[in-house]
Amino acid sequence: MHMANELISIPVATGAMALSAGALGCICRKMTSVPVRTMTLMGVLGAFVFAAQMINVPLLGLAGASGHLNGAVLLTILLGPHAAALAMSSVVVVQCLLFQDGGLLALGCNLMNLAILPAYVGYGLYSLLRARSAAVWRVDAGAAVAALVTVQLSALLVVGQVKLSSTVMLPIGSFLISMLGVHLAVGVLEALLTVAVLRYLRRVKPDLVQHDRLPFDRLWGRQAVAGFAIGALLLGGGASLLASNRPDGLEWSYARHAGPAQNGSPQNTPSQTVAALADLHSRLAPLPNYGIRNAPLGQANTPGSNPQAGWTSFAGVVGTLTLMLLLWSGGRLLKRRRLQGAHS
Amino acid sequence: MHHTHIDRMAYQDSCVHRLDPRSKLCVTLLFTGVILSLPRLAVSPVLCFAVGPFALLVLADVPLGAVMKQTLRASPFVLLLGLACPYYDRSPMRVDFGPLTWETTTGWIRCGSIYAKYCVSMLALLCLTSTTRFADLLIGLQRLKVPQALVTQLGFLYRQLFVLVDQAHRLRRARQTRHMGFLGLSKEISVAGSMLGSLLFRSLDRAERIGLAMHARGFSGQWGSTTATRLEPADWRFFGLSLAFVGGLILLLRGTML
Repeated sequence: MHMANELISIPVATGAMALSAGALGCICRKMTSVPVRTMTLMGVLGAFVFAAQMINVPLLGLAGASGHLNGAVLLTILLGPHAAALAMSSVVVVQCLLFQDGGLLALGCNLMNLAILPAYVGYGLYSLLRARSAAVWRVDAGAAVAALVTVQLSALLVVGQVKLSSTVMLPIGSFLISMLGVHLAVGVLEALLTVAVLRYLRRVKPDLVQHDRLPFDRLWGRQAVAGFAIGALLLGGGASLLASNRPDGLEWSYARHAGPAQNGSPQNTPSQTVAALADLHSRLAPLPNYGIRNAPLGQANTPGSNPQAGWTSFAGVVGTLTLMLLLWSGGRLLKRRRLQGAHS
Repeated sequence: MHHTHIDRMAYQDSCVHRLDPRSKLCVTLLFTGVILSLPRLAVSPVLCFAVGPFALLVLADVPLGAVMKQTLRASPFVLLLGLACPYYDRSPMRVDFGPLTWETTTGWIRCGSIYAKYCVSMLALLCLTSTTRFADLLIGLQRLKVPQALVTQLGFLYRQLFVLVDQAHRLRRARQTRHMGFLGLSKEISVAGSMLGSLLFRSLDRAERIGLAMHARGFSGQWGSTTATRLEPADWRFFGLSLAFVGGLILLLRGTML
């Protein structure tokens, strides 16, 4: 489930980007001294995750209903958490840049939801449940639980980020329930597929799974803690900026506080906090004064319904379309002339 | 499938293609940031911003049909959440748009704004990826001090991706030829498990061979590129122009943000 640019706000996007960049920086520092063979192994297994997503499993015999492996837990079992986090991160980056899944600014969220946290949480759960024993059922149970939980975790994170951004107005409860419900099915399929692949590997090449991976060493040095602290600070700062990113909510709160007679001007509001917030908003908002021009209809004499602004935006859109048309026809003309020049 | 299939348009030559990947990446990030920080109820200002990437696409001679197709292939998640807006946000509002005035709900405007932002930021991202070769983008990332391990990893991934995807297609075709309807869930999953497992073995074999071959040729973990990556005056001009475009549009549209 890729997060999209448009569903998150700038503070959430930058906070998530800082967190994932910090985590990736730490992982890369750990990975500086790996031999070339390990590097190729990681790269090719990243490509394997891509290819594995092409192999669909038909479900329920319905035409078109099919699912596929996501692969984060499989990679973390095979490669260990650091390498798996790096490999999955590169998968997410390529999905963003080459196939336009998600967006550039949502990359931080996607890295966090789909690569870094699944790798570490998945590995933690797997090694906890397996407890270094080689019993088949323990390996299977560890892999299945890890797959199920990581899928649910990324669904939960998506809901949290969307809610924190408040770009779309959704009742959190039903959104959460529907996301977790859908991802329960996805998670069960992921668990079944991971176990099936592990079974096959055990049958054909047992040493790959039985072999104990890197011990779950102490992951986080001081730099990592520092990185996470900075990320958390940024995220906190972002959350406080959220107020300034919600001009609509703020204007509504003016309207409520000011009453109809005072007509929503922040100086007349009785509450000091609202005035202070307004001041903060006007200073911090990246594009101040862009609130809703067209306020709710119920209040008479609102600053909304502004015909002049309507005309300006109309002119803007018409101008944009005209300019695009001109550019396009100019481009075609130039191309034709160039082709003719090449022929003659 | 070959990597030039995806990157096909990036292998052309134009003034946009010749810009340094770093400048294009930074401008795309900046542009997307500005688009996303426009207010939640802005539709027409967002559409006005589309001129920038559109002009670059025309300059770069990228076929617009392909771009439109890719843009309209909206991710179902955005589509669904966008459509949830009019359902849950029903406060009425009046919209003035030139000669037209109509009454609607904020939910619809919010939904329109989400879709407009989606289209414009997608246009910008497509503009970046269809005018920059992935290998050059990697060099740009390296120069921007992205950790070497990640860049190396991305390079390996990109170079092996198409080979393995081809193999996955062959495996799928083999299954289709032997497949007689739905086998039942447990059977289907064990079949898929075996397919994925054998794909994994082929990948491991391939990784082993490539690792040995690259080691033998003295690969140290750094990618090189034959194309020059220096910030030319053209890059600075591009950067300045983009800043002027975004800033000018913000100033121009100030106060009309609906």
